[in-house]
Amino acid sequence: MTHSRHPLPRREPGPLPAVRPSVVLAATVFAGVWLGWPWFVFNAFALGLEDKRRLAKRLAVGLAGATALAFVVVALPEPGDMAPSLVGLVMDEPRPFTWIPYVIIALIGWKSATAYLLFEDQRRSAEVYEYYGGTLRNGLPLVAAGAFLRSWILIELLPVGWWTLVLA
Amino acid sequence: MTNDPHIQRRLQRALDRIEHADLDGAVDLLQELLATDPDVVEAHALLALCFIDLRSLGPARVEAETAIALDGDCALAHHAMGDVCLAEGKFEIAAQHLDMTLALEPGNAVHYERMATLERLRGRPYRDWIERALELDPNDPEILAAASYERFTAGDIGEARRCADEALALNPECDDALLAKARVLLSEGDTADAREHVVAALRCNAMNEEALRLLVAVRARKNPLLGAWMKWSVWMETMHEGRRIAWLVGLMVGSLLLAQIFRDLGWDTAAVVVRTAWLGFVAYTWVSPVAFHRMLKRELEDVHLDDDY
Repeated sequence: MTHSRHPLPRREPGPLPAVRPSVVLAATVFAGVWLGWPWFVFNAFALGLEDKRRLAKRLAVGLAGATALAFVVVALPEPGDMAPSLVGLVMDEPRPFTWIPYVIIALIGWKSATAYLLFEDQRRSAEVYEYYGGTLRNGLPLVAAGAFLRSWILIELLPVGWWTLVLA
Repeated sequence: MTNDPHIQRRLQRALDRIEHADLDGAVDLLQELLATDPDVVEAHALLALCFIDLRSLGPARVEAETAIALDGDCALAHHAMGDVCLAEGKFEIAAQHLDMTLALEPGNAVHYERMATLERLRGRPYRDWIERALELDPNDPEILAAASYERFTAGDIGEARRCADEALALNPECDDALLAKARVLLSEGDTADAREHVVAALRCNAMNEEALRLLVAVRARKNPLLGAWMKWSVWMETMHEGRRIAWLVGLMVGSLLLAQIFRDLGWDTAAVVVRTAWLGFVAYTWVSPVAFHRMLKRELEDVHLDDDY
């Protein structure tokens, strides 16, 4: 270990409005990635997050994984085109089977895991931000508005495509 | 260590508050001190120790880092950083800082007790560290309480009781000593006395994890169903926010997957039950902490300590 004798710079709260990272995580869950992930970026600057490179890496990996899974969903055949599944045959009740719902669940899991890591990165920074006198704003009205406008933004405002699965 | 008698008096007042479990009061005093003298290393280190107990690890780390930056040869600063790393589960870095405290102050029993804690958390034998701490200071109630725990886990209940009694005789308000005694009493089947001791410890710090666990054990002896619910509540309550959210996200994805598997098997009713159960669980996580805190408050109000306590 190395030791130095110097005064540490005090981290003063910045001018941007910051919120509790759990609120941004809630925005990702209830409104979608279109609101949650850009908000994580904004909040990182508002909280003065030191390791922004890690934030960029997490977002890049998160988006790449979500895009890949969305492509898989789009590429998979529809249930109507499928032969009866093995499970259906075993149950003596042939039903069309598709992997689409499972890949969508994997996509939800992937996006949730990415949002969780982004939240974890900002949790400690938010404590330190408050410690130095910063006030965390109430972000819940924005979460509620995002959840309310979710369908309109994803289906009406934007053209529907594989990216809808990524942004939802 | 600062030589200014005025600063030393203020640090001593903060230490007294910490010993009486008034952590918020200690934080206020230390922050007042740092407002006028921002370079008092011991104040930064003590603040870090207070924040660890208040479960604010972000500020705790900032204060410990500040203390070490101000004086890298201050044992208390390394002690604080070691405790921050222990709380964060970074045992290797904690070991480096605790080694440093031993190198700087080889005669201070507290540092050996912290090494014992580190080894205990790592799942390694730690009796030698406790013995060394006891040799250096046989009259420290916290070290005696740690020794009681070590004897207890080794199955030597008689010695565990003796250490706990000695610790309580030295400081009847020491929460570690109260819990050490409660553990012994519970193992002997004396749930009423064990409950008194646990509640006394909870009155010092209502979120003392070990006290909550022992309270659950006491309750479970009388009512296994209530004990099971309390065990679950304590587990959720004492978990870090991040880990709790990871669990909830995992459960959400798991319930979606299970419901889909049931749907594919043609068990649509089972799929509906899984989805409803998940929604019910989400609603429960909103209500549960309130119910648990009410129960805890009633527990603290209901127990009256005996005259001979």
